[in-house]
Amino acid sequence: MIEVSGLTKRYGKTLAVDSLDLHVAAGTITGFLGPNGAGKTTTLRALLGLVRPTSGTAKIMGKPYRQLKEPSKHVGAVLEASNVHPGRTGRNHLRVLAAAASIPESRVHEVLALVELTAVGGRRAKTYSLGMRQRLGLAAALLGDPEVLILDEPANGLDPQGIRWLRDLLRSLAGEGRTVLVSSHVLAEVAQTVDDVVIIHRGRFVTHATTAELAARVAGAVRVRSPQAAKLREALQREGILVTPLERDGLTADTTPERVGEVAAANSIVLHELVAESGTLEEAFLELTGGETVA
Amino acid sequence: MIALFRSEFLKLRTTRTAVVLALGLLAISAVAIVAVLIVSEALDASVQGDISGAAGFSVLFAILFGILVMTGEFRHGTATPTFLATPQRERVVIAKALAALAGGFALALMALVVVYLIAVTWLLVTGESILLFDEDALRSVAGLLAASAIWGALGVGVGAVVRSQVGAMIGALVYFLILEGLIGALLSDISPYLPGAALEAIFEGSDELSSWAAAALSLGYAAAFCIAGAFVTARRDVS
Repeated sequence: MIEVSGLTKRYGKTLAVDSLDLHVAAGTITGFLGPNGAGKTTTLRALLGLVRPTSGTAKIMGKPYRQLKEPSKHVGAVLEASNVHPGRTGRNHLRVLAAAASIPESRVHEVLALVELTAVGGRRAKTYSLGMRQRLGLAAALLGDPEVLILDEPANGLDPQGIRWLRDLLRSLAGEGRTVLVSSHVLAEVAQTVDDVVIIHRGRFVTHATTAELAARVAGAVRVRSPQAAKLREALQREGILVTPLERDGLTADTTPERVGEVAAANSIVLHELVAESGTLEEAFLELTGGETVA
Repeated sequence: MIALFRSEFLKLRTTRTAVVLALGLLAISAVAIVAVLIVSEALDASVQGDISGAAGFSVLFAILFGILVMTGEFRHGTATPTFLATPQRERVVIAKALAALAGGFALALMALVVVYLIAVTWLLVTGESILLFDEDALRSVAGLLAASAIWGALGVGVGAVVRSQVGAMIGALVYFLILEGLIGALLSDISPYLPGAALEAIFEGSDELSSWAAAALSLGYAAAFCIAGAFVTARRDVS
């Protein structure tokens, strides 16, 4: 549904995005993660035809955004909460966008109700809190009832209740079969919402995994104790699993507990202890991105 | 394209910018016409041309209007949602240019109505009478309507090229107050054809340009800036 290949964007001497590949399958919610300045916003803007790539392509539904017919009816995007004229009311902001996209006015009232802004729709945008402007941005994105949603840091400025509200909204939107790409620099904000995680750092692709895989793969070595530790070690290594011996009869294996159990069973090895050393997702994220920052 | 016009006119109606500009213009025009009527020793035919002249600020307000219409999108970040809804950005610039053309015309029309209302009232009160409209006066009125419309579109073109709101306004001011005079002094051959000279020639013609030619040339300047503006707007990154 979303296909980025070899995307590179250079601003003068700075390489904001460096030959990035990104694939988002239809009907999934994908978290697009990286520290501030990793190139997330540039990537999303390139995907939406707002930023011209130095090289590479960014396509949605098989086409560059600028070649989509009636793009608002296929793709909705929230980029920055402040993209509203301060003197225009929230409702009129949506009416202006609806008019440009030939969307009936009745839809304006629907999306205002959906983001719970009906009561303040007649107020000028400059009186809105950051959270209200984020909701207004979401309403604008949903105007055309699009199949694809691209959200850049939508949780910014939302209070904890707002974040929960956003999470529920994104879940229900994905439940309707929509494809969602949502960026964040805080994994915890999206961890409970997304199916997949794409991590980038310094404009480069780091990993694409499910949230469970991510937790297991990075911080989640498996600690095993077995009276046949040496035999288990050989068996695991034969499977290409990285093994580190611990004191006495213990070892850690760089894989999932399930895998260790299967290997042990296949080789009739007795296990006394099998523990997934599950670090938090946030640790995994920091390990993947923070480590390099020092270098 | 019709959807785009509806969107652009809705933008104009839903902020105070247009209203504030119109009220400012009407106030200045009212002051100007009252000054003309007071200062004139005798209300004879020589005043006739000064009446529509009092509405002449509409040209300045029209270019300001055009600049605001275009650069406001970048100033307030609304360019992002606007270009998401209409990724063919050159069409947005064209729609804005046509909206500003209509806006400039409307500004001039309002200013003219106000100055003539005040002038007629003045004449009724003082009991004096002059011929308000003859061929020259009608030509001035038509010229002002055309010039304001064209300069509204010119403002959009300038705004699209410069992009910065303050930069475009200061740039336009510096050009018309200083640069055009300098260029004219250095290259006297082309000075009658520069934008400011072409504007003046719309009203009474000049040695080199008839009113019609001057209007066509001004329209050419507006079109050139709009085309250049559409070109760069379609290519520059929006962030």
